[in-house]
Amino acid sequence: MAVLTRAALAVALACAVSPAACDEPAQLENEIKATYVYKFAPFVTWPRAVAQAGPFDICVSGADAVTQLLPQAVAGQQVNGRAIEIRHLADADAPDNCPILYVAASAMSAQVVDAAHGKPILTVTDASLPGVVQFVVVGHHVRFDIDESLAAQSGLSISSKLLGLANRVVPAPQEKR
Amino acid sequence: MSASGTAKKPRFAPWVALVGALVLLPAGVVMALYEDHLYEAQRLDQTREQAEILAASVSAAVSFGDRKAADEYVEPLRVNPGIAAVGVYAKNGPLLAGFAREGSLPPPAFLTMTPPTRHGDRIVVTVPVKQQDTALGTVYLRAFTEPMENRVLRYAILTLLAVMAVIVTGGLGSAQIRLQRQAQSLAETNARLQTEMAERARAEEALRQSQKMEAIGQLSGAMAHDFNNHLMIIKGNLHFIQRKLPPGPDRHVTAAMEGINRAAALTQRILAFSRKQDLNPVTVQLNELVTDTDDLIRNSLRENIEVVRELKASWSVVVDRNQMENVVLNLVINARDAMPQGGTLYLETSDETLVGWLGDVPAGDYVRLIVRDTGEGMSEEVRAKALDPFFTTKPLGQGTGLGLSMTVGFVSQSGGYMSIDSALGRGTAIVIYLPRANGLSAETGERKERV
Repeated sequence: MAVLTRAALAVALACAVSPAACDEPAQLENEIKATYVYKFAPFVTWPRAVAQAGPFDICVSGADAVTQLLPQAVAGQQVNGRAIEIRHLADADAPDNCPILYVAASAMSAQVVDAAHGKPILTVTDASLPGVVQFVVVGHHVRFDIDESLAAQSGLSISSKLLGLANRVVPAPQEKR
Repeated sequence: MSASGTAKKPRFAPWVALVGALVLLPAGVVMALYEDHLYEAQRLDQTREQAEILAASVSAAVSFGDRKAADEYVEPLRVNPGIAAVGVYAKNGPLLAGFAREGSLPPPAFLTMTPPTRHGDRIVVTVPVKQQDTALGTVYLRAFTEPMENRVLRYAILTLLAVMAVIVTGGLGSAQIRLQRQAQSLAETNARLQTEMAERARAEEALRQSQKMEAIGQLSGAMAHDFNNHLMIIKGNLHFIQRKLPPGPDRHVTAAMEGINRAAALTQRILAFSRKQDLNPVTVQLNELVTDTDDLIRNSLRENIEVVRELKASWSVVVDRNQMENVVLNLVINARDAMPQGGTLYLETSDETLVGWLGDVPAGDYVRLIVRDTGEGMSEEVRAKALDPFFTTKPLGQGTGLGLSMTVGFVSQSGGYMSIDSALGRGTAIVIYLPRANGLSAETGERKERV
């Protein structure tokens, strides 16, 4: 069996989402990130208070290349049988009923992330922001770090399978839960 | 008494073994088929479980298309020699990771879900990769089953064992039969030996008895003969004395005469017993003889005794007529004395043909006379001594103990045989066999006798 490189696979995945963007490395990177956002969902368990039915909301704060690609990435996808909806939050909006919140880098992003912490929200951010999941690029590959400590504060539990795939895991404090 | 009828029953055992084998073998075939079916189902379950375990652990790697992570989950399955090929597929079907054992086809490059199938001795199972309720991809697993040849070989070995067991059972069964036959023949031999011993004891007893009789007979016969001669001398001289005396009976001479006559009768009986009496054998029809003595018999019996005659003999015999009448009379009187309370006296004659020796008479035609009473019978001890001379159960002075002795002596001297059939409470039968008169029919014998 031929050994494909991770990048090649990433290209393949990206091309599957948006064939037009195949040849631009940065574009490819963003497409992969956009695809990853909804894929975290099956590996995360939210507290019961969070809605378990109806459309699965992926909230977006701010705007960048990833947020642009998101609607395309989630098109036709489902999380546990629920259709995925992208909801753009205005700067002033509180991130309520958002199981996943993607925060694009912007002037307000730090505050948005802070506001979300402590609520049952899986924050997904780029490396510059402290989200539960942070995208990182390691040797031309898109990877992610997971801050289990933050996840625990927000009442989220993340599957060990996902943790096993992470580039780096900030472990949760042993006592606090 | 021989090897006839031996070991008929034990022949049963090998049949049972054979029938058991015939029943067990098809049952074994059914069991083998069922076991084979079970094995397949079990192997399928095992393979599916393995695929499900892989699908559960590989889900994140599949979801994020992480080929390296997927490989980490797939590789450990290589150590399982039962797995021919493994494939992990992303959501829309492309192969993400997998391997094929040497000599096996690689997992397909693109996969759609199929129900479990069988290709020769391979089982193919596909299971979905899911996280919570979200479908993420597919796992493909192809596993070896034990090749058919191996299974057939295993069942063949089992069949061989079963057949050997049947053979052993059959062998044991026939060995058992042989043992039983031996035991049976041993038992038969033992029984035969015991019978022979008993017969020998009886023969020895009879020999002793006849030797005793012989000795007594010779002694008493010789004495009686001499004694009789002396009596005759005394008797002759008494006649002379009588003539010399005045005419008319002399009291003393008469008394002496009576004494001599009684002594002569006694010696006559002793001579009869010792088979030395002078006989005048003629051809006699026993039926006629019994009928002729009817008056004598009737006179000697009491009112309370009924006489039943069954005279069926047609052959004649050659005997001394007077002595024979004495014998009948003697036996009738014995029967009467055995029935003081009354009863029935049977007088029977018949023609008999002996096919072998009876006592000391050979095979041939005989006329049998039976004098039977319904009296008290004899105990075994009495019966054993009944033929001894001077043995009697009658009160002192009533019997001489010579009746049966002289009867048996007379029968013996006439070439016949006499026996006693008796038991306490069952009455007594005296059975006498006399040889058939040679070449003479009853009529001619009778006529000759009368002329």
